[in-house]
Amino acid sequence: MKLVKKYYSQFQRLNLIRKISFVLLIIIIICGPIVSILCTIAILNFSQLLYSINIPSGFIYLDLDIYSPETMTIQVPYEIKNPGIYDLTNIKISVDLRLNYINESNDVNITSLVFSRIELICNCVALNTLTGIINGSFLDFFISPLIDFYDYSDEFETVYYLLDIDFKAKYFFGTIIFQFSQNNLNLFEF
Amino acid sequence: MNLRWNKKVIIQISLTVITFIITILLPIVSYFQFNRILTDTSLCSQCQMDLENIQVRYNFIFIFLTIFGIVLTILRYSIYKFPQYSIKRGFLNLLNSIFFVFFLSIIAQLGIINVSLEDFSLRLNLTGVFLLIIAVWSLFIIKHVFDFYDFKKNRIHYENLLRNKQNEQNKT
Repeated sequence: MKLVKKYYSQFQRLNLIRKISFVLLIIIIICGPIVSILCTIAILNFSQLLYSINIPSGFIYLDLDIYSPETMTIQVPYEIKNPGIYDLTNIKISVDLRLNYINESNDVNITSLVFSRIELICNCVALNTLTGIINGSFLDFFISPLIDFYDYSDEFETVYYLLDIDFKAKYFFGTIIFQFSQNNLNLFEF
Repeated sequence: MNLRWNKKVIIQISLTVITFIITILLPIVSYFQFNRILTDTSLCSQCQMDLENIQVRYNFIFIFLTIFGIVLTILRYSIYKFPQYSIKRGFLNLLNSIFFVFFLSIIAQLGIINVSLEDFSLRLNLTGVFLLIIAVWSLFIIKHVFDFYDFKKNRIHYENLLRNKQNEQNKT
């Protein structure tokens, strides 16, 4: 208490500029360690976060029947666990489906994009898990490459259904921006 | 008198050593560590190709970091050569904090990381985190501007204050 009174009386004797300088120093001493600790926690949590994002997190359902287009669909489940203390915001998941087949007329290997969808997802709150399914309807399919596939693909050769997933989000109040892409995922593995 | 002079020298040298470690030694060690990672990824030809694109940028960044580190270390050592409340000391403190903000903004460039493997890529931007730290450190610049202005405006008052302190020390 005596110490506080002593420093307070010294503070009162200072001129205005020294008082402002002293207050700024107190702010730096308080804010500096707090900001450093918050930033360190954010970076440490972020490395755990990268391992906690599962897309796809289970079986993928695909219906490519172009003769009944209203039933054409793809369902990609996802699971995002947020082990950190900050929210994951501005989450954007992009799913592309490509078909790789042999054209029986000229024996050429063709890879064509048949589906593309970008899904904006709500924020994943801290210490929570966000699960959902990305539902693609026939509006997200590209019909003419699909028609080419049905007309020209060699039914005796293997067809590869390749998934490209792109995940983008922000962390720690938007200061950490990250994006990862996984290409050529074989659909039959899910 | 000798004890006070020794205490001042110890503070001067220890702060200079800390500045040297943070601004010169750590970046140099990180640079050699980074080059070691490059040679370790030689098995993955795709990795090495993409990491070598980063190497040119990182070489540039580390050169600037070392230059700023040397300047900051020299400034930190020189600050304590001048008496407390002197205009030169106030000016050097201000210069030191401005250069340190430049140093931090160069380090912020290291927060942009792009890694591309065959079917996987990761893009990470951590500059926002570094900008937060720079924002807090910029308060030091404001503080030192006030100090410098105060030392210049009240130069006679501080000279009398130092003279009185010196007389008291001589009496004891």
